[in-house]
Amino acid sequence: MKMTVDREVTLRMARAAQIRLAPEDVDHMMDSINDILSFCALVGDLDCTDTPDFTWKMKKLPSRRPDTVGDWADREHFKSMAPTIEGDFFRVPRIHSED
Amino acid sequence: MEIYELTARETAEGIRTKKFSAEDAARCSLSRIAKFESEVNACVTVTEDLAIAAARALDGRIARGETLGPLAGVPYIAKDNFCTKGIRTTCSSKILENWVPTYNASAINFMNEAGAVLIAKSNLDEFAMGSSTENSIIGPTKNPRDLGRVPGGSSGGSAASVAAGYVPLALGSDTGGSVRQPAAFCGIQGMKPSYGEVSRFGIVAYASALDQVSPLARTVDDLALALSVIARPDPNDTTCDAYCRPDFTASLSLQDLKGKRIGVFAGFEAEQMDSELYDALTKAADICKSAGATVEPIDLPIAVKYGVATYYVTALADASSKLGCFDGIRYGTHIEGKTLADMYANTRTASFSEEVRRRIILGTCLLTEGFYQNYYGPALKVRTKMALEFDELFSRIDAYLLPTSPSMPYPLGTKETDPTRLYLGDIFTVPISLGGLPGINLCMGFTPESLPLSVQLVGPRYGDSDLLGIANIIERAVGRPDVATPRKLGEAK
Amino acid sequence: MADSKNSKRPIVIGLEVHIQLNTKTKLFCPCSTDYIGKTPNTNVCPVCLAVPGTLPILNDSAVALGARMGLGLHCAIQNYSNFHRKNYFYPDLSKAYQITQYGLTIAVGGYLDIESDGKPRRVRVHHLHLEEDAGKLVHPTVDGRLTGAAYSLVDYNRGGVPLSEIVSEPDMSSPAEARDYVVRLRQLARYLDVSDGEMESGSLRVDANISLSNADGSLGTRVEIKNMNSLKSLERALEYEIARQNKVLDSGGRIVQETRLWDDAEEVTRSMRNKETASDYRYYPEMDLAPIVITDEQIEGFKRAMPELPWEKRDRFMKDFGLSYEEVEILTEQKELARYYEDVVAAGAPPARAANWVRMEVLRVLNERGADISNFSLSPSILAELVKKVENKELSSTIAKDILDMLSQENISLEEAIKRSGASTVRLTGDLLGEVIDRICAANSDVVETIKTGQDKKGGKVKFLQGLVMKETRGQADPSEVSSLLSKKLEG
Repeated sequence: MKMTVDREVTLRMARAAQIRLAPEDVDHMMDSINDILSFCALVGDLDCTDTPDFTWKMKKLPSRRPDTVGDWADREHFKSMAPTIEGDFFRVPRIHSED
Repeated sequence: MEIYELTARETAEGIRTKKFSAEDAARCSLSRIAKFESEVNACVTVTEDLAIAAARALDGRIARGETLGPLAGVPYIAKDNFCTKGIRTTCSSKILENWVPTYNASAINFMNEAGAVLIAKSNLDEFAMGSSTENSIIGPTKNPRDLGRVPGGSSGGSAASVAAGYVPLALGSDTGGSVRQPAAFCGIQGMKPSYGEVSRFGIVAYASALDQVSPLARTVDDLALALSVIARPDPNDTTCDAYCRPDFTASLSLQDLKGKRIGVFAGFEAEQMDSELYDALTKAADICKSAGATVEPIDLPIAVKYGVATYYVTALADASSKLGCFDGIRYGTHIEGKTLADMYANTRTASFSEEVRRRIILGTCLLTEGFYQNYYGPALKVRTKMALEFDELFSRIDAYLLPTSPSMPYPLGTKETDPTRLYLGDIFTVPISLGGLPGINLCMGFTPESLPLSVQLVGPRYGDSDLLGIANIIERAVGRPDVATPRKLGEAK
Repeated sequence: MADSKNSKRPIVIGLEVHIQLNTKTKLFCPCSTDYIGKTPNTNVCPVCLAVPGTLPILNDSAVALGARMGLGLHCAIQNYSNFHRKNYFYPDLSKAYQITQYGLTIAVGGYLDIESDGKPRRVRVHHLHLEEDAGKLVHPTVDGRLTGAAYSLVDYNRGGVPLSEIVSEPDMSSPAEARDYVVRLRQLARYLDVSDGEMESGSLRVDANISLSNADGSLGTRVEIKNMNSLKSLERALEYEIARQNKVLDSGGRIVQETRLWDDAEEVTRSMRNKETASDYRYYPEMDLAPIVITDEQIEGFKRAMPELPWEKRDRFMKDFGLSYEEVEILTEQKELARYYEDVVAAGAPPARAANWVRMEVLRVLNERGADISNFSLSPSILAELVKKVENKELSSTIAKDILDMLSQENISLEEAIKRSGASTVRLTGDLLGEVIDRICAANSDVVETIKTGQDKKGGKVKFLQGLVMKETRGQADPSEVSSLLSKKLEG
């Protein structure tokens, strides 16, 4: 079934994606989403009754990892690549527990 | 013959037999880049010092009589979404502008172990989202066959590098045609192996369910050689299914196509496509016939009709999720904010390009309650239907010919405004990705204006080796594409 | 606070219990799970920090432990299950999605039998699934004020630690039942070595869904309660919520479907501010991971490796040792204690007396010391010797308790402890005991006189003499022999 978004939903999607949408860009984004929603609605046209969800078929049984601790040698590097470090921690703006 | 005109195999052979050194090969590659890069703009980072050091080390080992890998001394370039230890890896995005990984992608390790020498990291559409390599922090890459045109994408930098003779071999990643289409646009060979054949570890992912490491070269033989090196089991990727290692070059000894059944795409009624490319397809079919194959026209109704929509639903959803890790906390660009939400939005809005932001928001929408049930959910089932259609197809034939792209390389800056038409550019490549099938772009020669022609040859999943054999016979008939001298052709028509 | 027993409306409770699986490494990477007290961000690697290009690799032990717990809960282990991504942004979630099972889970449909308030009850288990834990946020204070700091800090040491979530059906009807369910679940997890199940350290976390049924029997609006980190707070939070909902409904109000946080200090539940993004996690299949395939052979292997379960042990103890339900519940609460008890019996102690000693004395000593049975210094065989001596009347209970105390404190032999206790292993009996009684009676002739003249109607004076004899003999005499000898003496 074809669906569409309005300005309000468009803004909600942008917020969920943690992306800011300037007021003047909302209509353009909304149109863009509606274009693709309109085009992609095609996926609902094919009768897929009793068709299972897609998964990759594999030649072998998927392997799992043995439960053995492996030390990553380069821990200091993580700090060096982080933009905001405080002591041993990564730093983010103040969060209140209910946020 | 100059070193830069040699294939990867010939380069390795030349070094092994001491006709020239690994350092000669690396320097030749670097001088080729120095000569044309200001025009082609294929490389984000050129790793000159590291390359020379690696080449010298190899020369030292050769002098000591050590046995080296099959690609010893062969210069190669990797798309800038392959993690390279100690070498900046940008994904052509502002958000990773200064990011230096601490580890190598598995494919990079395998190439290094085989003795290949990394020369540069190549340009791509930001996070591999696009098909023209125009959307990048370093600006657009140009097509060496005609500098006025796009090289295709998203692995446009890798394709242009091979076409321009920077290197005989490059690595790209193919999600929905990101290697096959630029190979077609740049007039070279490029292969997306079966999904699961090559480890994806260390590729900055766009779509987990589709990405595949893919080699680009000027000969099918080099594709097979590269695949023999990179198609290896890897404990770091459980979706990698390469538990046995077939010799991908074995089937290259195939001399004819007697007894082979080849299907040719026949569903053109509804499709707009450039006539030169239709002719190239016919020519490829004729070659197969002359080589002894039975050729029959076959339609692919589900894959072609539903492929693009299914692909975009799947890939956009995945992109929205996969790019969530860029939150400005652990790595990458960070822009301060008073609150957490501000910091997220500041960082992500300013550091992703408009196209990437659009895809992320779209993908978020497609996974949201309600939209999921009407888009993502059905797409998962359509994919199963497509896989069944392919299973049926390859129960009847050994290989399938279809176009790589419906259009010839288009001029730079031709912004397609109608997204539906833009996405239809992927109509022949995305179904193959969705099915996890191996697909090879073959250069079918050139138009009188010297623009490259192409065709796509597809085989059953994990039929990579046999497919290379058939591709090799077509290449033998057409001739190997030459190295381009980057230049601008007359006004594009 | 209102008592839930007085709730006019039937109470419906379902629990989601997260238990940290007892693996050495995280669910999808080889980092250590031993994060308590570790320097922040040391148990991390590119995978759990979501460094671009990395892929999750499933820990085989987590699958085995999940299946084991599932079998303990009588679930069907699935041959095929997979993972999903649960998408949301929060700093403690490095990938901006949690990898979790959704839909097709590793174990489905089971139950757990509990006993609450003396009544048996079966709580059905909807499913068990595997998922990864998030990191931890630290909110530093400035001059003791939380609001003063401009920053929060993130530690990913816990990020990616394997959890199994056990989702019950809404089969509990009181806070006490909810508690008893969690206690039984924790006991099972410990029996199976699946988890240490410590609520205080966060290895076991409980979220509750609670609703009050309407007068017509239809289900009421469900409220989710989080942040209860002890059994006590679980019960209190549920009690509070029942009272709150009853009050709202009594005053004609409506219950809002929401998530509320338990505030342990204030003893109230508070509504979480409704975040629009939190309501839609955008679940979808995780394609970076191959599915979990567990073959029938592997499931058979898991079954064969199952130890005796708490309730199996309980039934066996009752049957083999003739013990009561209540006794056995205590003995089998911890499998280590049950094992200790069995070892005491195996070393020759009579089961009933051994049960008393383990239940009363061993637990008392452990309690006093805050110690654990696993490092209790008194070996089962020594305790068995001690219990046998009591059984054979070689030692009195009083002396034996002293000896047990000594043995559990000092590394000395049983003989040495008996010696130090002053008790002779030779019992005072017959003529020797008679001499003591004679002596006591002589020294208390006035009491003897009182008895003999028939003035001790209630027998209190006799008991007094008995006590003196027992004291004098330091418990080396058999009380019944003392009693009979003393009677003869007083009659004679």
